[in-house]
Amino acid sequence: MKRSTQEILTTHSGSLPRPPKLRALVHDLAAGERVDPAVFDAEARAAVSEIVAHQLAAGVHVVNDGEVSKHSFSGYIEDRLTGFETREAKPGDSIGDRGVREREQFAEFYGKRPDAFYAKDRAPVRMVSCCVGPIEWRNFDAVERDIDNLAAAIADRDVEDAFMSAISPGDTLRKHPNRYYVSEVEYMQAVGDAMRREYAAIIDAGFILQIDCPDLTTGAHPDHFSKDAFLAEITANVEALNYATRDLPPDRMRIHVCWGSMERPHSLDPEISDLVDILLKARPDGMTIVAANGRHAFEWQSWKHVDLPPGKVVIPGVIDSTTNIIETPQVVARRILRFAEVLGPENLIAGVDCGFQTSVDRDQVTPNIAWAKLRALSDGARLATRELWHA
Amino acid sequence: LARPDAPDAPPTNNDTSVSETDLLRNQVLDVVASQLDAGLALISDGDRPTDGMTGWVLDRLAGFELRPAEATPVAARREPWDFPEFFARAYSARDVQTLLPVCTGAVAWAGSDLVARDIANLVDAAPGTDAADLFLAAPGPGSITRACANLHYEDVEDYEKAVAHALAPAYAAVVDAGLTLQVGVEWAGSRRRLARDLELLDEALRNVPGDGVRLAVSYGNVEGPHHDDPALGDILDLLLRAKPCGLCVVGANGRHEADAEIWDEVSLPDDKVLVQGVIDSTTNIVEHPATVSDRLVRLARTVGAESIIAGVDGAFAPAPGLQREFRVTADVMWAKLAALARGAELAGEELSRGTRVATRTGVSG
Repeated sequence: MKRSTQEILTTHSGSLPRPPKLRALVHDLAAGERVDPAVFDAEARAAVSEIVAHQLAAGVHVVNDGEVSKHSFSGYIEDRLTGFETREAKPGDSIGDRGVREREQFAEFYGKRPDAFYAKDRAPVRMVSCCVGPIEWRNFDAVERDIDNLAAAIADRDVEDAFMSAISPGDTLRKHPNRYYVSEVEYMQAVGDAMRREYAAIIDAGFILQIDCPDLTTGAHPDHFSKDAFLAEITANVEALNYATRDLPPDRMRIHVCWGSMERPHSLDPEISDLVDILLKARPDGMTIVAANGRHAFEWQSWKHVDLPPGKVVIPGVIDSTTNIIETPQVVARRILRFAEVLGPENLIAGVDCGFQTSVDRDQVTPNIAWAKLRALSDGARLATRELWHA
Repeated sequence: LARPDAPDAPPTNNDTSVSETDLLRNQVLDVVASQLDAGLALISDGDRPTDGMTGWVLDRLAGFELRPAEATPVAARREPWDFPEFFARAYSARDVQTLLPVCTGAVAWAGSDLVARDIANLVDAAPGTDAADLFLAAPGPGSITRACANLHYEDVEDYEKAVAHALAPAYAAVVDAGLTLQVGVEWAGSRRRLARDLELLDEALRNVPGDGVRLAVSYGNVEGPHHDDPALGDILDLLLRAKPCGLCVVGANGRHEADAEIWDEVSLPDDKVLVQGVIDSTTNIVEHPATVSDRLVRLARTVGAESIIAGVDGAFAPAPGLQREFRVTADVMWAKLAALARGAELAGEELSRGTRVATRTGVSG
């Protein structure tokens, strides 16, 4: 993994605005409509090339495919693995619901948002996608297609580093209750072994692997478990992650840790200081964290009390992916410099709080504003570089 | 301040046993109690008596009538041209206000009774609070002349002067009662325009002491790109020259967070007080009190804690026609105001480890 040794490097959290034509196809596929695979593949390939070009034009160093071929950062895995089917929910199932207490506390807010996301989970969940058979790949071609598309897109371009996202084993375990494996450990290992194949392929292609880990934060029900139960759950999820990545090189991996991509109160989010010790036990060297929005903006201070293990790289969000207000380069630089002072510039890469279009039908920030924000990110990083190395 | 469960229109009086007067009084009682509960020190009536500038102008000034807006006012900003996609999504065409006050006769002050009522309602609702800690908001002359077309005066300068002249008693009434007046000035795309707006404002304030007034600077209180907003440093000379002693500035959002760096170069005059935005009024993410404290402590180290009041970037009442997904709901707003008060307390504790300070909180709009 490239580090900020001579300049502040920049990256983002994965999902970027999909070009409109591909977006429509991804939407149709997810809705169960027939899409000609040849048409889809051709659009995806063109879109990845366009997305890489856009990132380079915006001045971003560590680029990706924008996750443009997937309908969601986590749901894509159901299309690619066997073993999942919808069944009736049982008491005690972890069903991927979120923020029950926040929904109660801010009923007016949740009641007024028009987007489907906010309406979810209001009714009790009766049906849930469960693991009812062996977890195996049925569509590894999709992984290979995504890898080929990114490799082709960066081949003739001057790219510092490239990354590709995949979902964590813990998220899959949490969203799909086990009805097949005799024990939870066996289930965890089956998911981990399957995911490892995707992880290894991404690393073998020469990319940095970003593992998206909603299960290490809000995904773990922090607001309706006790704090101890929450910490125990994320500890178990880190263990699942470490099992799946057990023989993969730490310096080719980063985890994405955030509190959910949506603009919502977040006032019950735990603080990074509550869980940083557990997160640092994850094998990947890189870790993205939320640090731009007002709920977490003060947390740069928390790192004063952290003994950062050698090799680790922190990727703080210095751009808020939930607001259409475009940060100024000066604001970005200011945020970077605070982290640089605490962590040392070589231990940080400037990033974005979360993805811009984490699900195909959801963008809080309009596409051209997302690109303007990435421009502000790289302009701000350059100001910080000047301050740190050339002042 | 946002109204609970009714962001689209002022509540209608369905209960005929309650008079309009009592209804308003109760609304002010509620909104004041909520501010005190949230822990705020400087309290307003939440603009309950008016519903934005349109209502304020029609009820209080003679010479205006409501007419269909003939053409969209010339946009003074680049934003809608550079990011049309955002503006198409943020505003619904059918909700956009099509009726605007238009000047069709000689402009004159006609709101003495209303301003007296508003003052009384606010004072009565906050019996334990010093009058100077109560504030009422009013539009600035420039905001009115820009939004309301002139069909009466031959010369635009005469129109501007007439409006400034008519506003003088409105402003004086608030300050004479011992309350603080908050008056707004909006960035309309040029320093020249801002300078003119401030000149008109000073004219309207000529009989009012500056220490009874705070000036709220706005760049349009919407979660939009704001890429063509000036930095505070680009307009600070004009703002500091204006009469009001209080200066409410945007400082919590990513467009203006670095504006405070200007205070490393410019010193705040002794008679001025900075009402610093440390809460973003355009996002439903609730700031952590530690974020509020962090922002205040950092600023206090340059400007001095005694010169700062912790505030909010802008008003919470939604702009006309703004789609729901871009509004902050009342429940989230109150959580933000509680975070503001708690954060100011934390900052006070942190700063008092070195020196003794009092940090007070206030909210604009």
